[in-house]
Amino acid sequence: MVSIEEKLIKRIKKGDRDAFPELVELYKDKIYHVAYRMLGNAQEAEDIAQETFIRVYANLENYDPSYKFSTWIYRIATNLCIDHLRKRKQSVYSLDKPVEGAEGLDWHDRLADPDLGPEDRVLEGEFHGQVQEAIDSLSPKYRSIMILRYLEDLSLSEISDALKLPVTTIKTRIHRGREALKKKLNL
Amino acid sequence: MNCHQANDLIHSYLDEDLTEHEQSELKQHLCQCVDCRTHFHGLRQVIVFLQSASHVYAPENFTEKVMAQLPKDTFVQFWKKRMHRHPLLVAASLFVLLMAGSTYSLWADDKQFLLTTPRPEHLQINSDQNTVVVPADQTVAGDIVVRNGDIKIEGTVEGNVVAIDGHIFLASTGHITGEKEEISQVVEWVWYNLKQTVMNLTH
Repeated sequence: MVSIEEKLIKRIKKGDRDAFPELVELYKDKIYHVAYRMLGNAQEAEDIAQETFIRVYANLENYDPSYKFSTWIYRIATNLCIDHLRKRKQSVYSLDKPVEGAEGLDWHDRLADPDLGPEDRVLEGEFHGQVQEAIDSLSPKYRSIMILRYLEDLSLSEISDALKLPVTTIKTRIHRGREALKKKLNL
Repeated sequence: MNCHQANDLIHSYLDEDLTEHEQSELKQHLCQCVDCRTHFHGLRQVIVFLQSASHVYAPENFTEKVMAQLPKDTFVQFWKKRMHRHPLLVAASLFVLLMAGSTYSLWADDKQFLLTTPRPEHLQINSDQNTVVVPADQTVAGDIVVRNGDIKIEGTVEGNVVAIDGHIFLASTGHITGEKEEISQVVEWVWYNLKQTVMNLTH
């Protein structure tokens, strides 16, 4: 059973100029969603999401079809987001140190982030952006996994493939992510 | 079971990773432990909360903007794609191009004045001006081929006369029993050579 993605990729490689836009249409919401949840604002999300597709186009020759296409594109998107977050937070102090006693949080999270507005038009009707606020409180490596698991509904093995981490590591981070969010949300 | 173990089981349960046996053990502990029950409830709420997140859609014109930023097809990529689609056609056209190229270079190399004739002593050859003359009183039996030069026929040629990149001037006293051909196109030269090859093969 040949997937839609495989068919589209074949057409793209043959030079069919309509095939790549179809692929973008298929994945644009998913990728934009991940980027938005990772970065917390619409403009950066759009930039990173576009960059993701440009990378996909440039690297189609390197795509290994034994992996699901979704796994590959999620990997590119997540890595771009994490790189972007790292650049954004560059400062004299090391903010990557974990905060004692609060698993999954680091000092980035403890300090208020001036870039993020409390509300965003994108999140109308979502408890006034509370989900985004909660996700923002996680450090990038926990944030990405919680987004992929609970917002994009990827399975543990899909996340493991996408992030190139063993399933046990994924499980541990999900557990810690859930604990951290429970604390943050006072549940 | 202590609460720490129970917590591990709670997380495994939320991952849908528990055996039936482990499930009943957990249930037992939760019945007896308020703290763990509360903790379990809280963790479940986290999941519900996350899954209540609003759906987010890419902005309008997203695809257009992506396409506008893609690298334009370079000449190399154009040919690569052509290759994939019509490998035979491309291979054939490349072959023809190469053959034509080598043919042209062979042809272009020979800018020398050349004369092929069975009896050169019957002819007047002016190598400075690249001309050959078959004098009026002479009869030459055989083909004459002149290259990069002109030939003037005042006598008789019992055979063919071919001028490649040159002219044949037939005087009123001149006579050619065979064929007279002026070749100035590469294609004709190729065709001429082909004909020669075939004729030589069949003789």
